Amino acid sequence: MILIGPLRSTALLAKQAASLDVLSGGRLVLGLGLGARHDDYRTAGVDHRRRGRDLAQQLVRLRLLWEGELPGPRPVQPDGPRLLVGGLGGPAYVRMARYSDGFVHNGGPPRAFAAAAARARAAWIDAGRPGRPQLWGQAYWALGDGAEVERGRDELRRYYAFARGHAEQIAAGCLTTPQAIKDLVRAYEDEGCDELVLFPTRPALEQLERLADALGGPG
Amino acid sequence: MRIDVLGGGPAGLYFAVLMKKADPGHEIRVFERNAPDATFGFGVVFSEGSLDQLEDADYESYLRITESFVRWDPLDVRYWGTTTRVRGNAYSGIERKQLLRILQERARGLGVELTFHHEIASVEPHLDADLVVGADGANSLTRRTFAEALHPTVRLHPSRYAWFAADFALPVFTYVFRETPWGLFQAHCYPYDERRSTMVVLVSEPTWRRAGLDEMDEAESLAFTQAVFQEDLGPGRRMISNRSLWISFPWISCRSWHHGNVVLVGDAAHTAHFSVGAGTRLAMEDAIALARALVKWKGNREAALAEYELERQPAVERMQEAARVSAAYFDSLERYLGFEPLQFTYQLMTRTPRITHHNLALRDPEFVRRVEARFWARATGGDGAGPGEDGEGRAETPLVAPPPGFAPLRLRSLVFPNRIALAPAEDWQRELASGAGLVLTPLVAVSPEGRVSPETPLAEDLPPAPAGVVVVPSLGHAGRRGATRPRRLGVDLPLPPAERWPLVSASALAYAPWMPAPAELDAEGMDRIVERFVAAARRLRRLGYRVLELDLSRGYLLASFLSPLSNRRVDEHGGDLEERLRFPLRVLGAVRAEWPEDLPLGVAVSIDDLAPGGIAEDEALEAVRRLARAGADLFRVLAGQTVPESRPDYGRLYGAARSDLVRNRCRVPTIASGRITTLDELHTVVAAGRADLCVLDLG
Repeated sequence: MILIGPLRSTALLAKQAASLDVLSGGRLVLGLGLGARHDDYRTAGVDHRRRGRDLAQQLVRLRLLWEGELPGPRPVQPDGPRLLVGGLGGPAYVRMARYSDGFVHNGGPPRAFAAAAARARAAWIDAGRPGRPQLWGQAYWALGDGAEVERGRDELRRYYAFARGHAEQIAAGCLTTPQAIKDLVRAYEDEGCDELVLFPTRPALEQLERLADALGGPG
Repeated sequence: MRIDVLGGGPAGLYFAVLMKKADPGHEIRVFERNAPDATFGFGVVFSEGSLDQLEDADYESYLRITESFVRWDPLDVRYWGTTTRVRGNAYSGIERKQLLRILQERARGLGVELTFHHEIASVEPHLDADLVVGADGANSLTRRTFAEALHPTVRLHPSRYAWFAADFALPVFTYVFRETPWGLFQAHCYPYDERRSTMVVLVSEPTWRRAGLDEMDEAESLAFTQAVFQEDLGPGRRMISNRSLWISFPWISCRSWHHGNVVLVGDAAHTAHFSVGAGTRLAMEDAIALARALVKWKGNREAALAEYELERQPAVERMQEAARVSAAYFDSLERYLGFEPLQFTYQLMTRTPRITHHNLALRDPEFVRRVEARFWARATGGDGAGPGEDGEGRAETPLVAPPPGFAPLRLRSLVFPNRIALAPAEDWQRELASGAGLVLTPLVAVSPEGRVSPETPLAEDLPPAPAGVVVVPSLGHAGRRGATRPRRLGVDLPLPPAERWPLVSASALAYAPWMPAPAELDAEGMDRIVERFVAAARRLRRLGYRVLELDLSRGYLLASFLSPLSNRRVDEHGGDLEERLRFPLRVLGAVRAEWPEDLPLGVAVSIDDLAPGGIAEDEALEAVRRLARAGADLFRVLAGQTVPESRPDYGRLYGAARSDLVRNRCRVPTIASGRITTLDELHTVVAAGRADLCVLDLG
């Protein structure tokens, strides 16, 4: 689950996450980021300028709440759900390394993931954390004929319309052939990605079947 | 498609050529304000790698361009009156006028309409074209017109440079470094035809003013600069000026390179400092990528422009990053003027992380062999390869030697067997057989209240010093970052209230909102802590440790005195640097007095808080000098963590630049720490004199 932390009440979020962890038998991974839209903050009445500090504090409080201060169900996972943090840039890597279990990349070619992962590892070492950060990647895809693929791209253009010029870039990065998906999966794996989330852009079950075919095939 | 190209430089012309070639049906017009044969800046330079793209994109112009090339493979570094040659740097130069001539002829031959002497006063009249290409250079009117959509930033580089030429062809690319009474003068020179060479002359702003260049006219400035370089030019040879004004390099980048039917290419969209010699190459690669995207996406202009941006922006950003590092190097060069020519040249060659020891060995094995042998001689002769020492004549230089990371380092009577350090977050005893020359422990607390977490070892918990590898206990006091949980789940997570111990710091400021507030350390507390440090040092000595490190970093107790962010005291321990450094110096002095004279003491020091209001660079360097005078022999150079929110840059080798700053400005031995992840990188950092030891971060 990925959400914009600073928009939420931390105590409520801790409780919801604990409940989900119970319901899922300890399978919840909670990804927190700052989001990219100013209007989210405006609408929620949350100070956009403090969002980084707010997220840091929220991450710390989640840990402390799960550990004992929280009334209600306790998470199944002994340390609470795993926390992942997204965001590029120095302060984001610092937050990730100081308060979470790993890093969620925002998507893009394997080279972009590799560059971010190297920074995440460096931040982890700099913070004096033992072990290594979990590294998660993500990618958009649409499989099918030209029209279906274009509808997938249109969905991304619509979803990212607020980001203006970037919407087209994100749409252009959409994976549209089985080979492109296979190549990306392999390349992410080579760069040390622990979990890769493949987001469909078309709401149709046969999309998932095509994905299974693409990934199940030889090579 | 009807396409208007604004600007007839290499990017605009080449794009016109490629588009017209792809489909002769395109109506393409190029508008240029100068005459066809007017140009400024003499020659341009290409690296060999960029030529394949030109070959694929348009074989005909590629042939003509490469026929006009002056090629060279070595480069020369003139410094201290000597010339050091490094081979394997395949570059080509061409007269800019000739390059333009070739592209103009090719464009005309294909049916592109070229209009010269056409000053563009407004982009407006061109907007009814299907595509408007802003190829109008660093001062782009197109970019300025659409600034709101493109979000450009233009920043002037602080130094000054001017394009000159020399009236003869240098044999190869040549860097010339001349120390003058006004400061350092640098010339980056390359031949561009059989008779002439480009000379880009670079000086710092203060040098430029001291020399009076700010008040000279063009002829005076030419005569002055020629006199500076006369010995390098040779008797009777002259420099040539052609509107050679002293300017500040403009760093240009744009968040977006297109808006509607308008798109930018080349310098209009981005610049990269001339010291990487990539401007023309990037511009022509833009042209290739833009033409390719338009061909691929035929009718869909928006998709084509997005793809063009997607492809080119990351490539350009990488080059800009390399150029920033390169420019910063040429700006800070005066700090290396004590290096002997071989190491000075090595440092120059490896100024960006793209070229490592191994790359250089492939380019010029003989040069690297000489560097390794000299490094070994300095490391094993006299009292070591200390910063700024040339060690000339002290030891015989061997014919061959291991790479620099495997050279020993001697500090006082202690010899580190190699330059490789490990600094594990926990469990340092697992690294004893790693092969590293030294292992730095995580913080070893001088007292139970000085622990970071209940797992932090105390000096008395340490085992006897292991044989073989040098273990460096990092002795300190956690200060206001104490009483936290082990770092498995995070950093600075406080222990439950019942398990905490009282914290002390320079001032009574909590490290973070969720952390308990410390008490301000009082005089009695200071005495006690000094005693604790001394007792811990005595204990470690008895256990057989031959070096220890005092921790003055990362917001722990001693560092909390040094940084104005954590020290708000109004007594003699707060205020200016001397006062903030008083307590750390007292601790160092007491430990130094206890520690045997013939054994070295290190300090881990944060030289930058990476946060607003933090310690200034000059202060941090002055602190290092004073610590060195008080008996510190080795500095692990760190930054950040003074406060929880900071802005670090975790780029490749990020710790090396900081180490370089301290080592070569303060002339003290250093340990670099920060994303040095391969032995190859480690050899490079050590051989270039950017650190004496490196913390290696493996996987």
